[in-house]
Amino acid sequence: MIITEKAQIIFNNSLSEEIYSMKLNSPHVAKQAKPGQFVMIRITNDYSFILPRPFAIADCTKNMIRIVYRVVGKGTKVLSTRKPGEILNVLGPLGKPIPKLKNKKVVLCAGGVGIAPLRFLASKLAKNNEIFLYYGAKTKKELILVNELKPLCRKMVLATEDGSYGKKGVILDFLSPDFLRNQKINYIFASGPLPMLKNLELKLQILPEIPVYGFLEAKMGCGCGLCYCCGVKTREGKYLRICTDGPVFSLKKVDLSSLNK
Amino acid sequence: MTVIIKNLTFKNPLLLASGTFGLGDKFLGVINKMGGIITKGITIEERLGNPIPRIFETPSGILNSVGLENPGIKKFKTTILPKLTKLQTNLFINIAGSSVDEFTILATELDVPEIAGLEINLSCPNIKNSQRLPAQNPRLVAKIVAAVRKKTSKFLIAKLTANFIDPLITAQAAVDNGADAISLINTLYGIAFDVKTRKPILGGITGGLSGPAIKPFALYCIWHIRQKLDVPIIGGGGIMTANDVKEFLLAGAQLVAIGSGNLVDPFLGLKILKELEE
Repeated sequence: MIITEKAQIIFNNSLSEEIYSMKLNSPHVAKQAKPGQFVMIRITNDYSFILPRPFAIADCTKNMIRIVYRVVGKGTKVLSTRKPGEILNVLGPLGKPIPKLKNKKVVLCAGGVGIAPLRFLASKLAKNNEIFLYYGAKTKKELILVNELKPLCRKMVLATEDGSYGKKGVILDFLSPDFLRNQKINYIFASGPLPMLKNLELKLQILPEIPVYGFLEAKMGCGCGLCYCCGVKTREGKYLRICTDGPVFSLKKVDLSSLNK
Repeated sequence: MTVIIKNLTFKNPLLLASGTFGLGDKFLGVINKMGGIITKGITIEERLGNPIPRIFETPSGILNSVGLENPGIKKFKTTILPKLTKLQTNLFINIAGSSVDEFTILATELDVPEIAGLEINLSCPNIKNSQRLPAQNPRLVAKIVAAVRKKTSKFLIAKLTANFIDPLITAQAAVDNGADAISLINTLYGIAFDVKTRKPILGGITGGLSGPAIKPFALYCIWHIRQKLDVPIIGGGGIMTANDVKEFLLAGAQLVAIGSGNLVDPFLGLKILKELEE
């Protein structure tokens, strides 16, 4: 059940120059949240930032949720200045959860701060599934949450665009179709910039048997299916709502070019 | 807090405004506590809506360009309406036609017992290929309202605009031709640009501005009409608190429609109601 609650900030730490990790005491959301879901958080309680912003749930423990976010605009800039003890309005959990998996081989593919929702997913999948993590960022400083993810994964491939850590290049360069085929991978979940998702979809067209799911983002109004502002087109040309039909979609069903802009 | 207008009883003056609470099939716990809900606009054919982005935040406001995405009247009647039969409040369907005939077809299709009334959408700013809104032309307002009135005995709301017209003129036209209430002010025209790309931000290019940014103008319009015209008014434009509601009632509205506030918090209606009751 979707609820709104006043959540106290436990910490709001910078992980790198522009990336922050915020833990919130949000017991009702924490109790119900499942991987794939997100929350809408109001930046301030006045109207200086009127719309709440969507954030993937990166971690969920008893009473607590954690979000990991990049400062991309004025709203997230202000959010990065909010202090422990302060109260934020949280609406959630929102979106469709990813169904539970058992005895599967799963590749998680992350670009940049897209690692956030995969962190939550990995924590749930790790018990009953084998996880292969492919994770890339621009620089070593932006490769976050690695230590938390390491124990959850059977294999971890890290890459940076500047070569400051791991392999040099973008992460998709190192995700080989042969590996996916030979390992008999059952599912791929990807989260990252739109070009990465597009390239992944293109690259994996030769493996139609492997379901590939992407975490999609859009400018949102309500986050819960009331306003119809966040759409993604299906390949048949109809809009689905990212907030209630997603945010995780089969990349084979949606037209990612409809998200350009 | 009961409000009685014509044959309808509203348990309180709060309505959920069209476009901001879906088709009325979600958050029933909120809807049932309100005086009524007005659905998103329904057209004869299914509409896909405008390209994204469809929403952009402005100082104290929201610019939207949804473009009347809806399943069309037939699908609405078969898949959504049956879910709404148990609503414990007044259900209004917002109808959006592109001609007088289309409005009358929609009104005829919706002359069914589950529905308390219709809101005639004369003022959606997000429709392509229309240079002007019907609500900018008093003669057209008169024609559409009169035609719909002939087809239904339902409670009729005329949703007018304050964009480039004195709404007093169109309000008069709506009342003279059978509207039971008028709704104002819908959104105001707006556009925003991305200075990096030098292009408009919204996928639909232009949009409708709502939220607290337009509240003083909305209050002015309602007060302005109330001075001259004895018609039930549904006031809306940036209602976020119980005090906002009181202001609209003081300006002359009988009912108020919460719009953008529902996007900020879908439970806002309940919070405002609680404050009003206290």
